[in-house]
Amino acid sequence: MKATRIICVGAGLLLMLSLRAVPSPAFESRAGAAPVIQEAPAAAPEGGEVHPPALPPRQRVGVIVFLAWMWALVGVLLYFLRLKVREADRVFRTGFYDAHDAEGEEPRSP
Amino acid sequence: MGTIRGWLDDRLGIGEVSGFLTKKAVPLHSHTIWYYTGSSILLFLGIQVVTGVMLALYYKPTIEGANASVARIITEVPLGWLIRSVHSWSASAMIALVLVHMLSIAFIKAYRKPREATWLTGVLLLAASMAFGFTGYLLPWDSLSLAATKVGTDFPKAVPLVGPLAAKVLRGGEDVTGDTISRFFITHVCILPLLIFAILGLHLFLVQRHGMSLPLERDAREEKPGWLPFWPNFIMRETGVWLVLFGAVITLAIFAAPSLGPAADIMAPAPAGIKPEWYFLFMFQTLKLFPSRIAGLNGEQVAVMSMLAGLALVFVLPFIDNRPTERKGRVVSWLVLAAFVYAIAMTVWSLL
Repeated sequence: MKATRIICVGAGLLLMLSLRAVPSPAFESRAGAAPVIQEAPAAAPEGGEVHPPALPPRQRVGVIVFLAWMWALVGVLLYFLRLKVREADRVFRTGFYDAHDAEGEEPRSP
Repeated sequence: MGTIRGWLDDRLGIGEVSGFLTKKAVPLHSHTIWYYTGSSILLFLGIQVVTGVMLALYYKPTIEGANASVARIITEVPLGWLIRSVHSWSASAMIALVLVHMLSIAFIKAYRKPREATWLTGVLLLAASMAFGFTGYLLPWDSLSLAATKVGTDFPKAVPLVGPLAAKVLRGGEDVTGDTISRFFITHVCILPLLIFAILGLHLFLVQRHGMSLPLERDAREEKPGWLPFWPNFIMRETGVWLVLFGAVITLAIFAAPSLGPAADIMAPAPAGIKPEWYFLFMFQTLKLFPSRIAGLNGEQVAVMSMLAGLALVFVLPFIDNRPTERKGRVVSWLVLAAFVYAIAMTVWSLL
């Protein structure tokens, strides 16, 4: 049993090493894609101002869609918040908190 | 879920905090709307921290790298232009709200006894917010920010005795250089955040300690006001306000993203049309109005000392107007209104 385990681990290690040794295009492409660290800062803009990049039409539409989605989400959330506020106010008006006050707990502030 | 909550409650005392929030009451009256300004400032402070950390990942506080790294953030980093724009708009919104918050406090005389210390910490928070704006303005290191910082760091020189030394400490030398960038950067991302969170902690503690103030007419009538539980009634209303403000800042940031000027050249002459951020414009315009000599004294010195005296008056306002709460204090209200109108007029004049 112990010998089988040793053989399996050994075979696994051998397979890994052999894979690394084989000149594989996958490894080569990964090595080629490794990021090159640039120590020098990017060229400073000379002359005119730097503006945010003009978005291609597709991305511009994407931004508009995002804004529309965001405001729609804000609207929906505000609607649900309004319902929750009404419910919380109703609970408050029923004297739920006064019941606590009657037990000797005064609301803090003002 | 209940087990996790119980475990956290045993160690952190969450139950006590939620108990505190449910017992906290918010006065309900015609001026309750002003209470939302305080919490909205916290929203923008949170946005500043998040976007600021994201920008700091790419920013290089050196004379060679500052402008180039901001240009890279705008043009190369994915959504970098948006993060920078949100940071810029959120900073303006935060300072505008701090000013509105302070004006509301001044008009309803909420600085009077026993809330003097709350006012003092509030003024310090305003100063810290403006210091954030001032130090952040130089960081893009474009020709306009360099010139405006030169003018801004020249201000302290007009103060007798300590002025020149203060200017030297601010700049890290005789002039605005690369040392000033690193000095401003460390102040912007390290010293000021520590300071603002410490003062904010004290400010919030004092607000809890003394409770939210009531308008004068309520106090005068000794009428028991209506109230609203902070949790959940008030916090849900606040969440609604936060959502709208957040949406407004994102929309502004998308449609009016700030650009970046050409890299600053220390040896180049100051460009035309130097302007600081909008919240310093009234001081900038005031300084321009003063003649070079006033009754034999240096005009700039008189202007700077007058402005410092004005700021000192704002700081010690609770000790000047320390009358009982039932007095309306119309003179103070008119003076505050006059100062507000003056600041608006000077800002508009400077923009024209």
